Amino acid sequence: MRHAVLRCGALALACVAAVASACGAPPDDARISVVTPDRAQFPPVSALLDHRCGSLDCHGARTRNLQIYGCEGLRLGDAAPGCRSSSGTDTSVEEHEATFRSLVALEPAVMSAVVQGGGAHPELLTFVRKARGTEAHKGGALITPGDDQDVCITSWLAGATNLDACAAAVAEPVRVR
Amino acid sequence: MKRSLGIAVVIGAVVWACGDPLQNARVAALGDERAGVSPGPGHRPGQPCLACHGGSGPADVDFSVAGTIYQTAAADSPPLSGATVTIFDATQLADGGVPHTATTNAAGNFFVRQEEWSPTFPLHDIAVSGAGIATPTVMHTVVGRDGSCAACHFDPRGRDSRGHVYLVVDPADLPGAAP
Repeated sequence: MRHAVLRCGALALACVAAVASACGAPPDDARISVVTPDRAQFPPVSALLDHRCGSLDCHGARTRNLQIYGCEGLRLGDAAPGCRSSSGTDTSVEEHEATFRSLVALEPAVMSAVVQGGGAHPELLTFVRKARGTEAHKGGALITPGDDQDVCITSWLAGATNLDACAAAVAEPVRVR
Repeated sequence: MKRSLGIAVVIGAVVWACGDPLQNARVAALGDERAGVSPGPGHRPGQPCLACHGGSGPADVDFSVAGTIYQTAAADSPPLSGATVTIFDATQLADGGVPHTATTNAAGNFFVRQEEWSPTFPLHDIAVSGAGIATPTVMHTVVGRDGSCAACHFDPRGRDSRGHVYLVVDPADLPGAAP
């Protein structure tokens, strides 16, 4: 009987300690860091994302977790709506940067792992799986592994953006997969 | 008595839980009908039609695509009646494919009933043409998921709106305009 009481007491103490530890506030200077793909190589990828994913009713909406900025959708600041070809202004450096930050901050730990792995497993990233349609995506399967759009994105994750693939991907007609 | 009250509370909770507060807010934000205009094909021009006509909305008729076309880009532009709207969905290439076609009514409204055409998104190469205008106005951006033109095209123009849909920028380009 006495042993049972002691065991219960120890268990209760352990629970209290666990709860106290779980409720402890993180230090004020704690930060989540992320190893990102090359910023400088991102604009061609950003242009593709703006064109295929960034319409105002999709990832150009301010309410989405992944927000994509650009001249075809959501503008940053006071930029005129629309691209230069339709009396607006082309996507700015700041808009590419805003899309970059939105994308790499979605899953910082996974992004770091993918980049540190040389981009060998892009499918670890939710945004790649959604674009490929291997995970539920309201917009459906937009890219196929190995096509120009896929190569544009995955080559950036691997550290050497394939500019030809990105250019071809933007020019590719919309079609169902 | 207590049992009946309990059942009523449970039913009330279920009904409350099944409502979509965001959808309800979207509909409420549209406000009342304009004075003198009854619900019908000419009502609520410029508003996001599918908020009510989109399946989870309160309207009886569901649309797949709908919107309002105006004559010019000016904020006070009159609507454009008799305009032709052509829409490609993801099953059709713009080059050689067959678009779906709709025509605007006197209020500038057009609508495609769900049972008439249920397109595969994204929609693309949507064009507006009008009598006397040689070149249609083509939208180069794709429509990813929302069949309401006004979900993205509302006034005033800004960082997340291109402004209303129009045929020509300048009133001088309209057929019959004074030179």
